[in-house]
Amino acid sequence: MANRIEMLKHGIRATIRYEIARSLNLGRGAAFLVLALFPPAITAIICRLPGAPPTMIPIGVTSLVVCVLANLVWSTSAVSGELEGKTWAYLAARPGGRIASMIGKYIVSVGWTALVTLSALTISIAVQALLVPTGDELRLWLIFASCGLIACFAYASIYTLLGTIFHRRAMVAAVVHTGVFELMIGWIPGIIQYATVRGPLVHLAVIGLVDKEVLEDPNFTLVFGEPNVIGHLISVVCLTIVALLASLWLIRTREYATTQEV
Amino acid sequence: MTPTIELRDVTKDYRTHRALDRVSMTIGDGVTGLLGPNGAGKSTMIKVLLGLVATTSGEGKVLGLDIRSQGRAIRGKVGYMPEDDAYIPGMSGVEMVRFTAALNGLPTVEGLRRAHEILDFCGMGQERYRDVDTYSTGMRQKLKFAQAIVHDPDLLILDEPTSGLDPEERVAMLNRVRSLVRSHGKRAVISTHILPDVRQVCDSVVIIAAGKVTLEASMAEVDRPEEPGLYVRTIGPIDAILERLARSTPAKRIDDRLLFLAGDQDGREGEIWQAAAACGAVVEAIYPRRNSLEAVFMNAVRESHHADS
Repeated sequence: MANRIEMLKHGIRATIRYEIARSLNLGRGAAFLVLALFPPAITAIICRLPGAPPTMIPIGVTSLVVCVLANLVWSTSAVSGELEGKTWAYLAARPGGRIASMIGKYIVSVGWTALVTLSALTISIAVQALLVPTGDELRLWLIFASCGLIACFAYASIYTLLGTIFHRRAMVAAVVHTGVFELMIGWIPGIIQYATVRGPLVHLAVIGLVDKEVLEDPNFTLVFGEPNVIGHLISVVCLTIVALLASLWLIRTREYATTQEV
Repeated sequence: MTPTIELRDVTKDYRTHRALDRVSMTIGDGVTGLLGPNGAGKSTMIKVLLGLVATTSGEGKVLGLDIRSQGRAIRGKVGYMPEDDAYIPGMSGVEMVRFTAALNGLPTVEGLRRAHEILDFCGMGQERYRDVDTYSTGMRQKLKFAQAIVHDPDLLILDEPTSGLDPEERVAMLNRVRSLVRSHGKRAVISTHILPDVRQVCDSVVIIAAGKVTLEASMAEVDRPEEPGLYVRTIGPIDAILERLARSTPAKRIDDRLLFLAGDQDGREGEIWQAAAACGAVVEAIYPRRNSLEAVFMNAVRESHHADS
């Protein structure tokens, strides 16, 4: 067992090292820049509008969008990318290849998406601080950065799971899932929101941003429910862990047949 | 000694397609050639042996380990060289081999040392530091081979190891396989379409057609014809030698220099030399009649088609 864990550790470390090495290319750099600069650009445009409307919500929303897009690009392809590149058999034929490869890829994609999300958020808040300073930038950054980090872990595991289930149409499945769950179901108030990442995250952000008196206002709780930080955190952490464990189980047991075998 | 591979009634279905149909075989030591036409089930069999796909029914063992429950242990003892180019773009050759070593559980420094050692064995020089995207087919084959053996496996499963190689590289690759088997006690299964490779390096052969094993034999058995005999190549009065040899054994002339003596000719070489000397001829070569592997292969495949129809 100790030998197996040691083997897995070497495999994960090597996967992380090589995933980082192979992701340091022009294409990914360009994608990084586009995603990281999109929210600051929106923030700058809003700050320049007549009357300078508040930028808090646009910054939060665009940072979350960046997190989702970055995960769509980097997390869904964990298995499908290897199958398309015909490297799956090579990875799977190693004793701990499948698990080590998936965990390594998951960690790297979380790292990349966290980096791009936090960069986008930091630059956006810096832009706001320069153009329309409010004095509340640090608090805003801390709240959105915490939610952004949680979102990176959660979306990465969900998209990794979708990639392992629908490996031939991983990106399509992830986009459909995002549309159905995050955009449609995420708006429905009630317990079904806990099946999404967006629902609990929006609640957590609101709890952090809104004053205590407002949170305790019965009219507010009627719409948003009780300000239950632990409950929302547990729900999103559980979703992340369940999705990740399901991915690991699938990747370990599923047969990914190449086209010539079927 | 534990057989290298033992399969009993192994069947593998992909939805409606039966890739392996009640396959039973036993593979021993040495190098075994796995032959079969395209779509015969060779790749599926390799994946079954590695525990990458589950069998629909039947049972089997690789190096004494159960293919259904000990896939991980099997993969630790087997070095697999896939047919497809399994390289990760953007990495150098030595990094690729080191990565494979890490996936097989070797620590970083040990993995790097081993990667260099194996790349030396595979005849890769400074090109090991180049990006794998820039490699020629021959270099990619060497790289895949290096990845297959970096963890010092007991059994090598090589899928088309000489595909796309020039004659010189082909010989070098086969010599490496032979060296690992003869000098280092490894066992090897080579899946290939190139029959001269099998003739050159294999000790036994398994032919698969339409998901069934149609022939399982040692190379000596494959070579042995139904009707044995000896070919004698001579320089000199061939008819005189023929007449002399035909007194004791059925003999016929093939061409101006070649005779064929039918039947078991064990220990008759001396008599042939004497006959040639008596006739004032010179014996250039004496060699036994043996089956052509191509013919054996074609027959085995044809038989499976007949059985299906």
